[in-house]
Order: sequence, then structure tokens, then C-alpha cells
Amino acid sequence: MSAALALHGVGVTYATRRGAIEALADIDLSIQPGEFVALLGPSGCGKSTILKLAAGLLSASRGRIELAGHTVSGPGRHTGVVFQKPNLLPWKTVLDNVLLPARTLDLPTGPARERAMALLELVGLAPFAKDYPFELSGGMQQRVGIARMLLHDPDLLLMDEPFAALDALSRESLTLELQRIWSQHRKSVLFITHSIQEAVFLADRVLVMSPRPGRIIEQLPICLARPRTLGTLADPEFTALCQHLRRHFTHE
Amino acid sequence: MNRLTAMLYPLISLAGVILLWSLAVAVFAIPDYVLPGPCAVFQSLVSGFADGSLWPHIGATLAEMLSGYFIGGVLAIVLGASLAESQTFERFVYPLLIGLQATPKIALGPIILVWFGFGMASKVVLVALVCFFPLFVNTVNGIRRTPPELLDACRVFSASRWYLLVHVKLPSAAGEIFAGLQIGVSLALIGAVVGEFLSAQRGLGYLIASSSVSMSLATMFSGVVLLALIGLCGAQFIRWLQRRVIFWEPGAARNTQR
Repeated sequence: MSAALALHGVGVTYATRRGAIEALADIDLSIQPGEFVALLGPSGCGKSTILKLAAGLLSASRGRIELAGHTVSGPGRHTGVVFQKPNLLPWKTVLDNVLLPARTLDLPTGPARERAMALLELVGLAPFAKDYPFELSGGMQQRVGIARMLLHDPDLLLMDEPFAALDALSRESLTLELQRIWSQHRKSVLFITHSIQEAVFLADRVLVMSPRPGRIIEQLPICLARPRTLGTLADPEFTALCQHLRRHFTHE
Repeated sequence: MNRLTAMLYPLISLAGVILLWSLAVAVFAIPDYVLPGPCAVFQSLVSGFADGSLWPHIGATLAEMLSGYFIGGVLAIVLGASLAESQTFERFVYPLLIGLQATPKIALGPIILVWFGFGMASKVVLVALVCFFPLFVNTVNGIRRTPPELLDACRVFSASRWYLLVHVKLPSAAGEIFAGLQIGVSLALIGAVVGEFLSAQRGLGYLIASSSVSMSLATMFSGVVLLALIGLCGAQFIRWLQRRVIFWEPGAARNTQR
């Protein structure tokens, strides 16, 4: 079975006025079906660029990107994406925002609506279906973003620091919620973060990136038992893994 | 403070201005053919409405203004949206249009009169022309300022260009489009009045111009008052519409939307 996402020797070079800037150098990574992979790196290391490549928003200067064995040439219906900002359309209701992939991908309306309601139920926002995004808190808006990402039942979820802009408490509850959703649906996930704890808590495997030009400098399997709970945060094994990863970022 | 008291304060200032005006006319014994008092203007308005002589003028100006505003507005939004979408169009036409914006369109009035005759058509064209530019430029700028991350968030779900234009860019530009519509109201009035000054048989601009011949300043002032009222109502209407349409923006009437 081919990998859910695979990057082979991918590099990205931007042309700027001060010459070419190498954002990514020689990235090789693969995510197995159903695997949760966290990509950890300092800001500006190009981790969001990797996500844009996988989402088909950007094309690589070098190398090959494959989704389930097919070369990526643009946005496709097999990926779901959330960003750091919820990026909901302010003029559409919560339900219509969740239905966005159904509209853009031309899915049949009836079943899509049912699924949208079920997903809003899943993220605990069913009573807010008719509300507008500005009536919701930041954490609730990001939950809508998660429901929208799942609407068309994608195989691969791409998440770009989805909880980075939230307050600590919403962040904690959404992290637990994401684990619950993932364990129910078993999607492949590429989760980008700059939080070591978040990466270790959620992932099956953590990839560490170096500062620009971004390279993957370590791959660390996380074998903590699931479901992980708030108790896991105090687990000595958890802290040891976090300590181990922190070494990459403390030398400055 | 409720809305009624908020409306009361400017009305008090207005009453003060009218009072000062009538005092000045009485104290300095200013003759009617230089500056009529507010009462004389009011009387002229009342008699004009009573004998029905004002209605055709109001109707003519309103008709010119509304049809010109509508035509210019639709053209501006449609062309603005397609220009913002097309790179070639933008490269070749946009700088030209920006240059044209700096020229006073009113100066074209006599030419338009020659082309479109002395009837209503020439005024409608003039109004459409002066309304077009600010709205057009605002539409283009508004669409260009759509947050790129919002577009990306839709692109990852394979949104088509049409979807992005209709469901993302145009709503996102709505604030600037309404600002252009707001400017357009006063420009439309200017266009209609100037057109009527140049040549007309009817309209408030014609009324003002033709009354100057007989030095009946009270009639001229009543024309100005009516134009001011039309402008005020138009601007208020656009403001009201904006609150209705762009309900999601801060400051808009949130509590009414549910």
C-alpha cells in the first residue's frame, strides 16, 4: 500500500529581489495511512511551505510529491486543511461554512447537509449551525474549521498550527478533541506545530526540522499508549521525550 | 442615549442656523433679491408644492439621477470585478482609467449634450459617467485587498475562480463598494444639476438657473433646499442598505441579525 503522503527530494527556492532564497532543501518524508505525524520546527523553517506543497497551493522547485501514489498537481478532493486562523467566510453561517467543500467539489446537497450537521455535532457546535462566525469565540471558530476540513471525508488531513492562535484552555480542550476525532475516523494527519508538548501528545511520529533552509533532522517515534489524557502530560516517558526534542532548540 | 435624542442634537443646530439667518436678514434689512429670509424660502416651497409647479422639476431631477446612478453603478461593479480578475485588462486599461479619474468628468458635459441631445438622455449619461469612476476604482481595490489566506482556505477545497469571485472576493470588497456608492450619491446630484444648468426644460438645476434671470432668490433657494434633501435621503438610504448587507462587519447592527 502506498503512503498517504510522500515527498521525494523536495526543494523550494523563492526568487526575491536579493536573489534566490532556499526555503526547503531536500525533504524526504512519508506518512502511512492512518498515521499521525507531527512536524516540529522553529518559525521560518519552511514547515508551512511543506503543508502548502501537500495541499497543492504551491509547486515544488525540485522533487516529487505524491498523495496515495498520485503526483500532486493542485488542490484535490482527498485532502482536508485547517490553518492557524480559522479563515471562515464571515458572510456565511456556520453550517454554510462547513458545507463549503461540498459546494466547491460539487457534492450532492442532501447527504452533505446531513454530514455537516453530524460533524457540527461531533465538534459540539450543532446548536450554533445558524449563527455567523463573528458570534463565536476563537476556539469555536477553529472547531468549525475542523468540521469543514472533514466534510468531504478526505483521507489526509493537513493542519498548520491550528491551535497556535488560541488561549491555553481552548488549546488543551481542542487537542483532546482532535485526538478523539482522529481515533474515531483514523485519517492520516500531517500536523504542523512549534509546540513540543503538542507534537509529542498527539503524534505517532515527530519530525524535527532545522532552521532555513529547512531539512528534517530527526524522526522520533512516540509509543505512548492511547488514548492519551491530561495525565499523560505528567508521565515520565512523556517528559523524557519532550526533553529529548527540546535539545534541538536550546543551543542558541 | 437612544437614537431619537441622537437625532435631536443636529436638528437643534439646524434650528439655530435658521434663526441666525432670519435675524441677520431682519437686522441688516437685506433686500429679498439679495438674500431672502428662511420664511420667504419656506413660502416659496409651500406655494410651489401647492400649485404643483415643483413636482415636474423634482421628478425630472430624480429620474435623471436615479437612472444614471443605476447604470453607472452596475457598469462600475461589473467592469471593476472583471478588471480585477484579468491581468491583461489590468495592465492595459487600469492605468488609463486612473488617469481619467483625475480629469473632471463634468467638463465633458457640453460634449455629451452635443452627442446625446438636450433631453433627459444627456443628463443620464453625465450622471452615469461621474458616478462610475469612484465606484469602479473602489471595486477593483476592494477585490484586490481580499485577504489572501481567505482565498487559500477556499482554494484548498478546489474552489473555482467563479466561486472565489462571487463568494469570497465580492463580499470581501463590499465595504469599499459601499463607500463608492456613498460618494456616488452626491456626485450623481452634481451631474444631474450641471446637466440641467447647461440645457434643460425641467429639473431643479433648470429651476435654479432660470430663476436667476428673474432674480427670484427665494425660488433658487428652495431648489437648493430640495437638492440637499434628495442628497440627504440618498445617503441615508445607502447607509441603511450597507448596514443590512454587510451585517458581519464590526459596528454593523449585530443584534438585528439572527
